[in-house]
Amino acid sequence: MASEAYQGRPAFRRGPGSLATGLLVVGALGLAGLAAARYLGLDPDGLLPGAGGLRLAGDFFSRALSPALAYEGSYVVGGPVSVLTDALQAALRTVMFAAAAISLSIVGGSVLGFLATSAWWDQPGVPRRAFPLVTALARGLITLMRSVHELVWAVLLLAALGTGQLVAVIAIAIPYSGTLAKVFSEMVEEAPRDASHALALAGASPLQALCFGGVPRAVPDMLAYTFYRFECALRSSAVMGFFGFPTLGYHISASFENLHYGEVWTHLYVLFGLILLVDAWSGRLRQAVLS
Amino acid sequence: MSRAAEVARLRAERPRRPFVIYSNLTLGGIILASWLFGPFGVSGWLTTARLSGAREFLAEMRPWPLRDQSWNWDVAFGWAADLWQRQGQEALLTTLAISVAAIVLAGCLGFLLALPAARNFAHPRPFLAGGKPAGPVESGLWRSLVWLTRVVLVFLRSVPEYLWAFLLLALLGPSPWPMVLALALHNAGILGKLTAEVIENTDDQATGALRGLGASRWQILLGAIFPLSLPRFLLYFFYRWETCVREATVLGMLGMASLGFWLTQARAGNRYDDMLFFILAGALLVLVGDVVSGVARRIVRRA
Amino acid sequence: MTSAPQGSLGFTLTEARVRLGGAEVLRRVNLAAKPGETVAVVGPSGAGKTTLLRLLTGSLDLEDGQVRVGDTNLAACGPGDLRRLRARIGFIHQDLRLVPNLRVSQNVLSGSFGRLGFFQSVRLFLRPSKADLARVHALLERVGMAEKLFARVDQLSGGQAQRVAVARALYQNPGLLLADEPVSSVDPARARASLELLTGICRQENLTLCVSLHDPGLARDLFQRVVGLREGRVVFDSPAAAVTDAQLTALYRLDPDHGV
Repeated sequence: MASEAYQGRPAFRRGPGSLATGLLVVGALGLAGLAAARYLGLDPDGLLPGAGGLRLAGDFFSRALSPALAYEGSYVVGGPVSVLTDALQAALRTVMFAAAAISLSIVGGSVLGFLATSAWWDQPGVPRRAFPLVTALARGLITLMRSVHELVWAVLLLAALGTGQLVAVIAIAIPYSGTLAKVFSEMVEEAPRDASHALALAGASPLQALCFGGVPRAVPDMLAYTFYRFECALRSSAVMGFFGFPTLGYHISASFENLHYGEVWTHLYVLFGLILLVDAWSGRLRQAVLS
Repeated sequence: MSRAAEVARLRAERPRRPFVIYSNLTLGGIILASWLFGPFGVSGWLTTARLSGAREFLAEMRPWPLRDQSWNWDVAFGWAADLWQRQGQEALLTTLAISVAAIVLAGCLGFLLALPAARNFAHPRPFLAGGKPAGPVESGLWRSLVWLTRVVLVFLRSVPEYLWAFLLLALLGPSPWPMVLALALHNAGILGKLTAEVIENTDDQATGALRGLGASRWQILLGAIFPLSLPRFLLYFFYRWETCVREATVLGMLGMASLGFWLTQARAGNRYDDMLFFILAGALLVLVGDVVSGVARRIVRRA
Repeated sequence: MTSAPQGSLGFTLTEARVRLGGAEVLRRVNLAAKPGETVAVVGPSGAGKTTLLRLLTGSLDLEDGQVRVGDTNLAACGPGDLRRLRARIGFIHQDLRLVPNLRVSQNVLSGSFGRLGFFQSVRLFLRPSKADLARVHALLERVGMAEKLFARVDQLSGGQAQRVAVARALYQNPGLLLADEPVSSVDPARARASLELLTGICRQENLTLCVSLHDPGLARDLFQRVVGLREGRVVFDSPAAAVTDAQLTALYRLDPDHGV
């Protein structure tokens, strides 16, 4: 057409900014989703709960605005806000499990992350010795640790070592260590290298250049990410309750199966409040540290 | 003033960031208190009973045809192939399908929710720098919409996926929907928040240019925001898909024929060798998911 | 400054040729500086000034020729020897290359890491002794930044940060000080003051100084020797007083073919 010939450009501008490519990509992803849905046999009828489900939904949601504060019925003797206090205690235990797990993960993640970093020895003029092997092993270990979900680690450790509260902590700590290690290593390697280069030029060894020139530039990101991971650990810790550990998930599933929906909502609100609090804290810290 | 005193004075007056310091100290304090007062019982935990139990367990992870016999790769392979055919393949594909369906749904939901959560889009006079400002009632309504949407997003992503699945399973009965929805709702919360931020940070020049031509907010969305923010959105999309794969391997524990389900079945039947098989299959799936996601993200970054 | 082998270092470039990315950046450069001399290298952008400075730190490979710093031939240095030599060469980068989220004291102290073992440097980094801090404070006084001893570098202005970079280089107790375009992004009045500070300190400590500048006027006024570099070749090399305006004009002329 005349206008395009004049401008010397084709009508479709191929590239990331063009609408057509974008729609194509989105369309492809949508097709993948539909294929998956078809394989699973997902049909819209499944979204409508059956008669039993509707009744349950009705019972459940009707308690949303009136969560139980005291235990109903005579099966538990307690004060007027005993459900609330129990929920808060469970929240405290949830925090403790998460904190213990994150502390192990910080230590493990830092050590493994350092071993998995190749930026400091992978330079001309630095003797390689055993470093490539150590880094490769560390990276392999990290991948293994991350590939298994913390709930699966819990099942595995419970079967291997028997019951014990420490199992939940270790089960969360293993994949979280791997994730922290990977992320820390990436952050250090992707941080600007100008300062570490300047230190090397001033006679510092490659290790010194990394630790005092490279790592400090990555520390704000690492700090923000650690707090984000703590928030995730809270969620994982709560879910561990479904497996019998004394966190919020335990009370939620127990109350739910006993059809005491009011108690379920109490615990849900406490969980929601806890995560909201930590989320806000984490967000504020991220702003303070990365501005 | 002597130099040492001067240095001490400067040190006392050095600029600090109290919030960061207090945050670190608080987290450290929580960690310390948790180890000291938590119900963990660290001392005397590794008893001989536990260790011998662990040794027994390791023995029981050996494929049952090979127990009390020397290792034979053919037999082991045959056992694995049989397990794969009977349960493993379908479980793996189901788990994968759950993750894909969930992330696509999450993407749609997240994007739809991001629109009313983006302050520059959900605005009485979007992308307009001049002109008559909107009245207080109108602005107030729009701001409430943004705030409300953000609360919904926070709620969606605060509830753990496993908990979503648990509740939805009770409501919807046994079907793939609870797992898919659980992952989709949680990740819609995350993707929605991230996409809203991306929309808010869209280059002003592009949107301003279209606005100057008189485009409506929907036309600006299609013409400028969508193409410009798509690469970042795809990065987040694939990154969250990785997590969906991970979570999908365990959601089956709640009762749907996928990896998690067979895993707990094997454990309940004390068939630890089968359990190990499903754990490894799950780990392999997660690994493949990581690789594919990494490749996809590299392609998007390079584009 | 901290204890270290004393003595300033001269340098000698003999028939140095450097090729970067396929192009010859330095062609047959012959340049020598006696210990304690202050030399300014001037020339249009792309002339090879930065390359010349980097050559003196052993960061580049020579295609031909020789570089000697002090009595050491850089090509004959193993990695350990090169590090020890670099610890005695202070380099002030054009983009400063400080760590922005650390304090001034930590940045300056990191200049001495080349002389220390790893665990010593960790201790110095995390818990500097009162004596260390006093030394840093004294050095910052000389560059006029004593008040900012514990300030964060990202809270400083460009000029202030640059003085911190100078302090870091000086904290190495170097024998040779190199500076790459130290005043290119500073207004003329401050540029002069900055360079006067630098040359003054080097005179006091008898340090060899080699600075690349794009303002030949400052070079002539403040340095003992001026070297003109153009397209990788030394066009003139003479005492500051002997540099004529004609030489400078010829150095900076816009070539119609090459269009500098």
